[in-house]
Amino acid sequence: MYVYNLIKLKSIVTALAVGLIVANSIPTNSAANVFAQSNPKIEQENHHVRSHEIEIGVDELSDDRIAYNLNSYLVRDVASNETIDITSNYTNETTIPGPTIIVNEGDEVIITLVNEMGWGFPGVHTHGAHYKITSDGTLKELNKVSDQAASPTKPFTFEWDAANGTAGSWPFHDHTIGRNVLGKSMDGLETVGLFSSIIINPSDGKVNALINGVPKQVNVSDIYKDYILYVNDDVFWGTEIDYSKGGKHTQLGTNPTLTAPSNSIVRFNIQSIGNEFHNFTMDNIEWLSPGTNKVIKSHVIGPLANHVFTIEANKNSSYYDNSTINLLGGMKGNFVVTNSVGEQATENSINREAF
Amino acid sequence: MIHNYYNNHNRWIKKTNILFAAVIASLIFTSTITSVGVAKGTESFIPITQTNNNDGKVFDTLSSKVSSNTAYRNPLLNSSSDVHDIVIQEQVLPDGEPAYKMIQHMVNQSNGTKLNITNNYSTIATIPGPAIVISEGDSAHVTINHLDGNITREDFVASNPGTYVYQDDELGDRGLYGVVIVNPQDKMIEALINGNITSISTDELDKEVLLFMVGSTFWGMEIAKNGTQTPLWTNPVPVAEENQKIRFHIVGIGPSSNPNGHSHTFHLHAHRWVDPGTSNIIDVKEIHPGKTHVFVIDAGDGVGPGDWQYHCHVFSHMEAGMMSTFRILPANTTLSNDTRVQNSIPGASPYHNFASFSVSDEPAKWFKNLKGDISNTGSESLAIINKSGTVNFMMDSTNGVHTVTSIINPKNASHMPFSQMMAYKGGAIVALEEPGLYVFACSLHPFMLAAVIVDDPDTEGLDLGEELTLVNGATIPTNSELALKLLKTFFIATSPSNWQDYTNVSQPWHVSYPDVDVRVTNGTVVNVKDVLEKTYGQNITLAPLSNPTVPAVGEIWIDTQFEKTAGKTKPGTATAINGTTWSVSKKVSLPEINMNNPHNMWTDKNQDLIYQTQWFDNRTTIFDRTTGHLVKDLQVGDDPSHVMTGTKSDELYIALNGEDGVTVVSSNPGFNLTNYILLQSPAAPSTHPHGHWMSSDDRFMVTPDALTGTTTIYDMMQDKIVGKVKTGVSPVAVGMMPDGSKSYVADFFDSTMSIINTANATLIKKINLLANYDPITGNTTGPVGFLPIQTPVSPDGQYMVTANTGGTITILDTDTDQIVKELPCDPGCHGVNFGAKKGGGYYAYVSSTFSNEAIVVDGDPNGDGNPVDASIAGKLSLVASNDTKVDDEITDLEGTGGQGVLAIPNVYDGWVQNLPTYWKGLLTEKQQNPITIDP
Repeated sequence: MYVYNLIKLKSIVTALAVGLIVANSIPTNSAANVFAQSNPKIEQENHHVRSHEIEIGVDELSDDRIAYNLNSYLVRDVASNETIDITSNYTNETTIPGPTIIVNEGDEVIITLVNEMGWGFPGVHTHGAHYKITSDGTLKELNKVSDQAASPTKPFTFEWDAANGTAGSWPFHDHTIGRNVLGKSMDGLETVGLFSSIIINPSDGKVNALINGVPKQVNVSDIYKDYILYVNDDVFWGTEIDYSKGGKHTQLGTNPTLTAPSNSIVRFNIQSIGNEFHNFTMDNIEWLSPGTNKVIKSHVIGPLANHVFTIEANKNSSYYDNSTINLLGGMKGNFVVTNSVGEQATENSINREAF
Repeated sequence: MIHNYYNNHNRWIKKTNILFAAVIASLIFTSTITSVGVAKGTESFIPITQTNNNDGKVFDTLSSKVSSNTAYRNPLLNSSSDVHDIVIQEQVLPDGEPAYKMIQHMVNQSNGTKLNITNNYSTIATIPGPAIVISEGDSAHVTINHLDGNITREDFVASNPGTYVYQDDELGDRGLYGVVIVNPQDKMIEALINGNITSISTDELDKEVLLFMVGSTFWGMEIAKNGTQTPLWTNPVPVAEENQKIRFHIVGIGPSSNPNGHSHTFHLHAHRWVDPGTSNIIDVKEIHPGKTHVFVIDAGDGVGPGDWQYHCHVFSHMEAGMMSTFRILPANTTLSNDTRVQNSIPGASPYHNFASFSVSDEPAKWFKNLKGDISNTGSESLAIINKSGTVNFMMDSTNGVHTVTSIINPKNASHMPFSQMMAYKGGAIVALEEPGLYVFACSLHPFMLAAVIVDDPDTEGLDLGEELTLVNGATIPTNSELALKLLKTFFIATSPSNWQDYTNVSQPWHVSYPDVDVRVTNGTVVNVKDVLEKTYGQNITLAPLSNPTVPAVGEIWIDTQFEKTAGKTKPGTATAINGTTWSVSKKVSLPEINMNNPHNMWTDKNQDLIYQTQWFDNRTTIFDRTTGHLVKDLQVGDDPSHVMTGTKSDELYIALNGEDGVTVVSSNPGFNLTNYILLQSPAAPSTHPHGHWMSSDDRFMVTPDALTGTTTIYDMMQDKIVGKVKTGVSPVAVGMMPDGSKSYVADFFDSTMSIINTANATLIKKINLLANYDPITGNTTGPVGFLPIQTPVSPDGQYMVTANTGGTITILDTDTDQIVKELPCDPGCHGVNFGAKKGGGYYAYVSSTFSNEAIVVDGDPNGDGNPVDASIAGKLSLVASNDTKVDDEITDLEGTGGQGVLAIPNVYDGWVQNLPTYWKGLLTEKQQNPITIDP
């Protein structure tokens, strides 16, 4: 079922899936028929640079938590049809947050979601990217087209288009809220672990940064590390992507210590999920409010909003939710700047708490 | 009438509005300085006259919220501005919500002509109110005809483009709100088209969609290209064609009575837009009360047609129904005319088959139908709608967090069960399709009840349905005794006139039931009043108060959570009873902090202070036990329920019923927050602990996790969770053996008692407290405990006393773990704790939510260690006498709402050993060492 090497086969699978969806739709539902028509504007945008062909599993963790894991990740150059397997950049464990997907504007993402729990009906809904209603990641009750989730016997494939204008760091998560076809309420999967991020780097390769107090544009290729800090009501869940190690992804657990060599460029991708609003604050460090030249050192973030900034690492700091109760509960971590790139090479960011 | 109800809130609301003013003013200021282009003034609206403007009503959010009162005109604006004469009127909609209606909108144009654009507006009162669309530089005179007959006038100049909230100061969270949309003079606005930030003219807009985020409901309105406004009501489906340019105005509303308000995050699927004032592209935006967020999208840009969901992304709000879809049709599919007006699909409207409840901290009116008492029972918590109706909840009068949870619904009803995984601030909206009885409760505060009868008008009698499904999954016929018991409980809980008054037992206890015919199992039609009176009697003589013959040691504190006093808007006092005279000695209401629903208490090792939780708030208060004076008011987290101290540290451990852990506060005199103990792994479902217990050796803390159906055993020495036991639905309180070996958990909605091996975190046994009860006939064959709550084990470990909401006290023998006795209690029997009986032994003091007495239980009168002789030793009034020391004038609901109990001195093993000499001297040797000395 999951053959990525033959692009034709993949297309057939997709076509089959679409066919099934149309066949399943109720004839009286005019909206569904509408989606079977192709839109010339969307067709035009299907000239992608690279195709990210990813298989993600869903499995259970302890204490009623459910999370994504990465089974395989192939990057295909659409023009040459050459592929690179980057699966080894990721852990093979089921983690919170799930695997971070990193693409450029102009790429497409094809995610096949495999339900490895033996029960339930989880899905993936992404923010930011373009996708047709058939890849919304919601249930038919809502999208009027199809139940877009993976049963224990039937994986589901989602297609996302990182079109121009979608650059940013976006959350993706389960969105099967409500009763699903299996009759079991799956409410809350998005808060108990089924969430992660997709970073869409801009096609011009430049992002805004605050360097030594001065707003500047820096090259994405000069970013040394990306940190994901996922705010999940009581804790920060961390992931880092270290580009000095070929883009290696490390899951950092909760409230991790983040490290960076002195004077390296690092990008913080703050994501949020759950019920609460948090005042994300860092000591000693300032950054640019996204899309402006305004310098800030804290930001109130609500569920599923994102907040992204790039800085030069030159001061030790700590990051935290500036709320009494959450600080007491340990919702805080350190940012440690090491002396040089050479020294840093042997040090990872520190995982404070494993699963 | 509605205004009168709110009069006592005025001071508070006005104060917070000043805060809002600052927020909004700073918002306006910020957006002005960051916006690109022509520099504009820092004031958005300039009041030009202030006649009749001290009433604190509508448009104050616009005019007086900007501090300047000088007549200022932006010199950059030309003089060709229009003057708008606007008259709007307040009306009450069929569901009881107030709303605004546009009466007249005349435009006095700069060229001298008058234009009447009243026809642009809906001809009926709408929520949101009319959107007043004007141009930068225009001025407006707005006349408001208020519900109470008063007429006020507000004038302003629209000096800055933007979308601004107008809102009534009293009812502005509940329908009386709208926006003024000020379009820039050059008409150019920002849009994201084809992924690029672009400027377009307002003339290019195909449609404007207004979505107000209120409670957990979207209230919609759309403005067509020709200016026509159409109300879209709740969670509507706006419709557009692909590539149409649609301007969204997302608006946060209230509640202004809550300092934190309800915040939301707006998300629309598959679309992105520009965060105003930045070049940042977003698809989720935080929406705070009184704030607006405006953006233009190119419908379906790059994603095509579809039913694209929009929703609030606060998870509990999603669960509570805060969602709908934005339908994008393929381009040119609906060529109705050259302007191509797509008809959006309105949602449920207050004009048709719709009930609205306000959620409040007010006793009995926790869920208050805005139409008031429709059943002539004194209950304001009942609503009746027809099938396929809608019920809307707004948490607009509470400082606490809650859930809106279906606890009873017709079997197999659509959208049921309805609940949320986490308590929150907001509201809920749910469609009730099938006829029958639906009862909603807050799963943290389960006496907060709303009943909705969904009727099929074609059948005789109001439909209760054939069978009802209860929150624990059990199904019962509507003609069963259990169904009647639940109905009776509802009318007692939600009507103070149905509560028991023991101060004058010569007046029998009368319960008002609705005199209405209902249709039950097999289509039988019965009269509710007749059948309830026949089953349970009426005008029952209450057993008179009586003092126990043997006095107690010290004093007994009982939270009279509903008692109202003159100096506070929130209810509740702590009542002290002298254990020698058995009279009410003190009432502490703490008007200086507006103490809100005091629920449970504990004391320091010296017995000098009372630690008092405020269950509908976020505070725990420390006051002097002797003087009643406030010592410290601490913000500890949402809905603190119970507090205990560690026997070694004397630190306070406060369970946060509205959150997922226990706040630790350092001992007297510091009282600093020192820790927050999380009771689940990160990301695991949130526990919401209620009435924890701690072991006498300060080793284990056992928490009943109300929302996860688990009980958590926490090891205080190792600072970690030992384990979790699946107990029952809504575990609410824990009792523990003095040696910590066994923990007893009352599973509220299951009416079970789970017995746990504490150290191993394993379930030993589960006792069904309804085993001796036949839910169909109501026959009983032994002790019964319906909806158990507090359940402490006696300090000597011999027995346990459980307060059951259904009006019984059950006694469990801890040797055999069998229920050995049932004693009568009052409706809403709730709190229990033990104190010392003079000369040896213990009394258990039992409080009841819906009466004004406390019952004194002697669990082992003959002192042989066997509780089979447990009996009621006395019945004590909780109502103040002339001799009672009070800190505020008691005005209503005297002595009612009996909840937490605390006896001084604290005689539980582990705590009793820490008592000062004075207190120890009043105890027997055995009482001082309850488990080391044999009887």
